Amino acid sequence: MFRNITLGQYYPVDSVIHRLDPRVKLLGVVVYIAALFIMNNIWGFLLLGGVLAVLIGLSHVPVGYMIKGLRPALILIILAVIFNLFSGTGTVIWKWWILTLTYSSILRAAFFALRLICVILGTGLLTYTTTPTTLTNGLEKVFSHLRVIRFPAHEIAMMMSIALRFIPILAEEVNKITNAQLARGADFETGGFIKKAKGMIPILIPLFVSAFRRAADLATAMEARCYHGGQGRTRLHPLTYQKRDKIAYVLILVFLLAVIALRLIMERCLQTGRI
Amino acid sequence: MIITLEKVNYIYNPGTVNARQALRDVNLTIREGEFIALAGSTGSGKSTLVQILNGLKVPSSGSVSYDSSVLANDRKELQKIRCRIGVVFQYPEYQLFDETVLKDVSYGPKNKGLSEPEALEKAKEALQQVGLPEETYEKSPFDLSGGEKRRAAIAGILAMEPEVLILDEPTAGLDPLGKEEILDLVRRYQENNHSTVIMVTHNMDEAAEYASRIIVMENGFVLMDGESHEVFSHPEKLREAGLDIPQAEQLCLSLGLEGNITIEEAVQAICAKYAILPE
Amino acid sequence: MQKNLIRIDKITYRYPTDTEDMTEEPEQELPSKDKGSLPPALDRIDLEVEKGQFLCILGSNGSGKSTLARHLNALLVPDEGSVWIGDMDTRDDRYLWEIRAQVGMVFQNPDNQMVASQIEEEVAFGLENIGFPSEDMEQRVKEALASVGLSGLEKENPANLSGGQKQRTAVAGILAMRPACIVLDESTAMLDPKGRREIMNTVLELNRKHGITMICITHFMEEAVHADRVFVMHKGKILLSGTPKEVFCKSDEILEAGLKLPVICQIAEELRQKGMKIPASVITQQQLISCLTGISENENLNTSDS
Repeated sequence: MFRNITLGQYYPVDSVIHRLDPRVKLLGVVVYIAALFIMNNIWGFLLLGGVLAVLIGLSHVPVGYMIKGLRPALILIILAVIFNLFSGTGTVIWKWWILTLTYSSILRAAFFALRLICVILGTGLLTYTTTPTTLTNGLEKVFSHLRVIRFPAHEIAMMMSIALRFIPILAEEVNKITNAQLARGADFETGGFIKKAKGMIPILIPLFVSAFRRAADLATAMEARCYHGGQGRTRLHPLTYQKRDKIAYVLILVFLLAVIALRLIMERCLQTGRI
Repeated sequence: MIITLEKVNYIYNPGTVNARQALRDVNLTIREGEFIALAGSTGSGKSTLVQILNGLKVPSSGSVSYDSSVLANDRKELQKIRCRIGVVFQYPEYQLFDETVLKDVSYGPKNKGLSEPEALEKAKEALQQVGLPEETYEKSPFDLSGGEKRRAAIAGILAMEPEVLILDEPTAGLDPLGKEEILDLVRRYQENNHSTVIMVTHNMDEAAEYASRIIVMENGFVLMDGESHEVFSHPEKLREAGLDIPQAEQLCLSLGLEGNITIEEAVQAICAKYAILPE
Repeated sequence: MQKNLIRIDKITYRYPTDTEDMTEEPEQELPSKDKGSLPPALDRIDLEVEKGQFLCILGSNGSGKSTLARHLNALLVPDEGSVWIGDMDTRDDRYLWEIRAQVGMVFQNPDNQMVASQIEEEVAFGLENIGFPSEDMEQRVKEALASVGLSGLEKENPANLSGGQKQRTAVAGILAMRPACIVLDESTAMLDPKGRREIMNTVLELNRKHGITMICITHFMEEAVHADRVFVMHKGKILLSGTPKEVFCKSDEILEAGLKLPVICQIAEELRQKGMKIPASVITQQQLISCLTGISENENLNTSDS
């Protein structure tokens, strides 16, 4: 039942967004999130929302599928909205008990919700259009610039990809061990916290033993296949920038400048009081 | 105990895109004292069937009854059934966890509600049954050899004194001698206790040598069910299910001798046909 | 004079006793912590492997067969004696990666030897490690997958493959490095009969068609029937060696080694005990059938004489 767990929920279709270099997409997400926090007015959000809509359109990932990704965060969004809604200052438009509603708080709650939704959709777009492996490669490449400060980029990336491969296997293992202990009459459900925690020992110990055994096996197998760290390693699909990636970089830069400019202009307008 | 399955269906992830029907209209009666081989290729539904038989899974539809009382979907009831029907899963040594072999084997009896000394007593009996020497009792189960670990894990189930013993590929990964030891142990247990044994296996030579009844699963259906000679008299049907026929039978069929499935039967039949009898 | 691919010269190896259980060979039994009383895992083993041969090493659990396998590509190095791959000594660190690229190894557990979440990445892993140029890698991966009959599964996740397919992927991962020799260390032990057949067919074909030396370590006696040479190991020593015919007629030694004869040999043996004249060279079903039908003809002749 754990066999079909996919981490990162890659959506396998072909699109220009899928084909972009993961490094470009990573930068894009970082810039986009920064933009969400630079922007502080409704016009700016309209722009950011529009950009996201265009990108989703280009990605060929169904909108319904994207929206579904919001579901786990729904409670978080609602809580944040409620919290912001009743903690504002300024002109009171509605008051009941300790709850007060002000113009500024409505605005802030709306911005907050929009930001959160856009962050989730934006990072979602990255994971929907990039396989975990490619993403790991991208991260490795990006962080390899930090080698000068001895940042172990290759090792971290290798650990991530091994984790991606083994998490479903270990999840299945938990399932098997649980079944085996249930068949020995184990009861994991009754009793207080301590009894329940103790009851987990027959699952945890075999799981650790198994995980260590797998780790030892894997280490031997990797060594047998000449693995000796990142040095001198080549890749099957090395990351190389295409024309589209360069164009994307330029667009990201233009976008960033536009966002900054927009904020500056709006601030100037507010100051001079023309809006 | 008699187990009866009536029109049992089981569906994984019902109602989703990943829905998969693992069992289809399975009707079975497991009688007391039978030695059954449950065969089928990977994904034929035999593992699901095992989990249904001991209450680890509840059928999506259909009923399972034990001695004519239908199993209710109730946690306490299910736990009771799991204690009456022992399952030795594949590679059971991976479930060992306690500090000593003896403690580990007494885990099941303790879950059944026995007191500590009673449980240890049962554990000792079970360890004797599987032929582990006394000096291993206080060892850590992780220090045993592969074959010994397997036997300790089987003892962990036998100590619960199940009325039906199910073993899922008990010989997987063992060397020939280790295999024979486990199979002989199972046979001895079955003969001494007259208990029901169900053994899941891919190995048709083992099935022919040890089981009296064979159930063949394919694609969630019970494809064949009958006395072993009867089942092996349909080699085409077995091949269709992705299974072999015993090597002894293959040899005999090539020689035009039918109905011999064990090595002993093959030797006798060949002698009868070809041998120069002592004058 | 370097005609042999692998030369093993009187090697002895003992497992260090102070290491953790995890790093040891899984089947190795270490009942005592006292090194003096511990028998060596390998005891003065001599072995030569010619290029292009199909070898089978049989032995029960703990016989030392996996330890021997690990000496073939310098995962372990002997305490005494030496192992030569061509003219490279496995103890010489300079040749380490060259040796491991020459002698590939497929292990027992299909899940525990795969690194990547995609088949083509998995197959390319070895090539990536030896710094093979990226431009030619895809071609190599394609060829390797084709040789094991898995073309078209390049983008698949290993989790969706059967055991047999996983092990064939592992074979492909080695093939991509164009090795001289592949060692299969109980690679069929965890598979169902179908998966086992898949692997054995793949291995036989690679040996026959591409001349890759194969060393098969197993306790499935049936797998040894087609080998050029068979070795039976017991307690760190080589107990028997020779062609399958020569080895399988020594039933006492085989039992002593904790093994069992293949079913056909068992039947032949029992028929012999009943007084039938079946030559010791009969080890396959076909041979037994022709032998028996031959007997029956002779028998008819005899009866017509009297």
